[in-house]
Amino acid sequence: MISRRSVLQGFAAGTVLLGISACSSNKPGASAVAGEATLTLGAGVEPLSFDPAQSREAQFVQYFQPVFDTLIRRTPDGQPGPMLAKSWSYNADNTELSFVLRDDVKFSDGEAFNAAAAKANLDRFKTAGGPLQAQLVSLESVTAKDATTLVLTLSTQDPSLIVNLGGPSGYMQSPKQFTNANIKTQPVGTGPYKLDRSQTTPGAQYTYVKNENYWNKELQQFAAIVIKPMKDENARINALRSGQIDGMIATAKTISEAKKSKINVVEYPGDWQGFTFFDRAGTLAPELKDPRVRQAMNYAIDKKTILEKVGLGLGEVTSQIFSPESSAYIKDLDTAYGFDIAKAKSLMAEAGFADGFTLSMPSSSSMDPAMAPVLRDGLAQIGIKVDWVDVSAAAYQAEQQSGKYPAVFAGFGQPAVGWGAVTQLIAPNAAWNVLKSTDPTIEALLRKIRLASDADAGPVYQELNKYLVDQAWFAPFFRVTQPYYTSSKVSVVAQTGQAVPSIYNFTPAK
Amino acid sequence: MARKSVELGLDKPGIVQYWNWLSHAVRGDLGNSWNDGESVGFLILNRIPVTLSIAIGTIVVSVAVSLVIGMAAGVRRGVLDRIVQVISVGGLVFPGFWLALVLVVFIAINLGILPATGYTPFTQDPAGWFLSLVLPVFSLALGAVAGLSQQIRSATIATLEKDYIRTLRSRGLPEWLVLLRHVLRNAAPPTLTIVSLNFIGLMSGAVMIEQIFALPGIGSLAVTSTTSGDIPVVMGTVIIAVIIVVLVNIAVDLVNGWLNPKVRLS
Repeated sequence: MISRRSVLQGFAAGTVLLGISACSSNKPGASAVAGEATLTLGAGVEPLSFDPAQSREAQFVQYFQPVFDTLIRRTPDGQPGPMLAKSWSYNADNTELSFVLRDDVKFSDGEAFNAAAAKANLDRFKTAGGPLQAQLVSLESVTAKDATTLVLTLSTQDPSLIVNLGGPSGYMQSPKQFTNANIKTQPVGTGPYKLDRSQTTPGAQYTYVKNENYWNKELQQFAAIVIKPMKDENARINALRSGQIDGMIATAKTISEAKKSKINVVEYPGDWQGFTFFDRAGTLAPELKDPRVRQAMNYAIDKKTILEKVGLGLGEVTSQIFSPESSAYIKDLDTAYGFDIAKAKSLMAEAGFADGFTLSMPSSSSMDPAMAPVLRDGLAQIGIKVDWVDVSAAAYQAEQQSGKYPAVFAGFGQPAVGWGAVTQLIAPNAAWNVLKSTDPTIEALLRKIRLASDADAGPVYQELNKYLVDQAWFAPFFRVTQPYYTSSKVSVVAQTGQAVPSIYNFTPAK
Repeated sequence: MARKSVELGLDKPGIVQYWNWLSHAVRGDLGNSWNDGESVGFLILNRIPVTLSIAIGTIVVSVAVSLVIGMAAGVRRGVLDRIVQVISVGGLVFPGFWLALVLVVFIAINLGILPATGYTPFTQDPAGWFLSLVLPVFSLALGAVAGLSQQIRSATIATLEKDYIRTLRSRGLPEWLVLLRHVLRNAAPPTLTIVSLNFIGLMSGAVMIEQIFALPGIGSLAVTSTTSGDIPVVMGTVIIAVIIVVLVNIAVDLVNGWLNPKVRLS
């Protein structure tokens, strides 16, 4: 039997608890003074490891940037700027890249940052088997000439190397930690903040506190950064509206609700979405060898309507894969393939496939549920029967790259430097040129781009872009708009070519 | 790929893989996550307090509320009874996740008096812990109260009509003593069974609530590990769920026996 005294004690405890809760604020977040506020971000992903060699791009950068400075800093417009490297230069044929490093930087474990440490990091990234190891594929050797001079020797010219060194392959970690058993959970870099393990709970929140010895106080706009993994977009919006977080990645689906709620919405170009034809040689689907079939598929999709109905109109219709920021971009190519079923049918007939054929492509629950039926119906109009092979969301990417499918529907980022798209999608060894297709024209153009200086490369990139559109190597539908939401307590500048703004782009609202 | 398969033991026949897992599991070693190499035991231990906090909180709240309103309705009947009936039907009609969304909008966002998402560990901040649980617990408790209060109400009515209650009353025993010691005790066994079923149901209901409130519990762990194909973690969460169900059933049997000597004899 419960005694009266214990009941009273229970009441007393409850009252005290309520009293405490009334006093404690449930609204963390920024106060008005710069440098004293806390920046709290909601993230749709959670890192599996804090080892930079195992890190990824996209949303993951916000978890790594507070701790790890990069050699190069990506400025908001996607261009490279100085960070741990004060300056850099190429040799005459662009195969040797020399860096002048800062000499006033220390890792948070007290070790000095110098060329030897940078070399150790690059060597490790190249061999550690991480998901982005290919970013340093052109790197043949690294030499630390003296404490502040680092020389990278390349096996071939690599126009995207500089931009890559502003991301995961450029994260600098204290070499002393390479052999630390806790390397996955205790990151040690030279960055503006340090991960505070005592205030970090995996799955709930990651807290970063100011690195008092940081070399560039301008990049420390907040006293602390808290990142809360919240996979559900609605949960993130609720957290933002109730003041629990200050920033979040979003999708077009919630943009009208966000605008109604007086949330600040930053919009910038996100992925391009469409078909990527792997089998341009016709080994799996002989029909795809004929460019007219690929062109017909470009004409058969009603991009505008799909963008309006599925993407809620947030984006721009296009037929090219290059970013408007890159020198390869040609505005007219956005309308190269309009919606024209008659033309598509006649191209199919010319190619000898008036009766159509069956095309097998992978689909998964991570795709917008409306997409598979819409694309199936679009292609059915010109006789192409799509056989969607459903695979698990976890295996989706691996399945797309397995080489079993002649084409896929996918979305890809649009790097501000055209070479990013080349190494991702076009070059014979590109990860997304799954069946290694190439032809003499493309090879010649790629060779020209590699040898050209940045200023001269533009026209060659444009030539490549025109050729790819003409040959219908891809069937891009649209560039989607990527929204990022913030509370009124912070300001943010969008980051070109990155899924989320860098942490340096946030400042307390004035 | 081949090296990784050997490392994970995937090159062995299924039955051998299962034996390897089972022989380690009985010794308390549930293996390591394929995703991040973290021990499954650690992942679960890290998250079980969240799910248990919600489940136990919901049970405590729903039992307390159901006892009060169920017994009151059974004893007083009339208007009060009808109000309780309406609340019960309402509780059954509105699903927990819907209520959760409504509560988030009105209580957390519009009024701003409770957090909309997230979980604060008790050890870090007891007040924060309490606040982070209020909305999830309340949204799950309404459904539980609906079924439970009905059960208590009918058991109370049935018991009150028994001859021995009339006898006890005729001996001049105070009404509260009759209700607490005799009516409640006799109404307890079927009620406890419902409580245990509720608890087991909550373990699965928590999946949805954990998503809505972004709570890092077992439910969200099960969802993430299932979608990413992290089999050791999936197996671990299933095992833990089974253990909890068995423990709850044993506990209910023991409490039933303690409350009711007839059960002990049988």
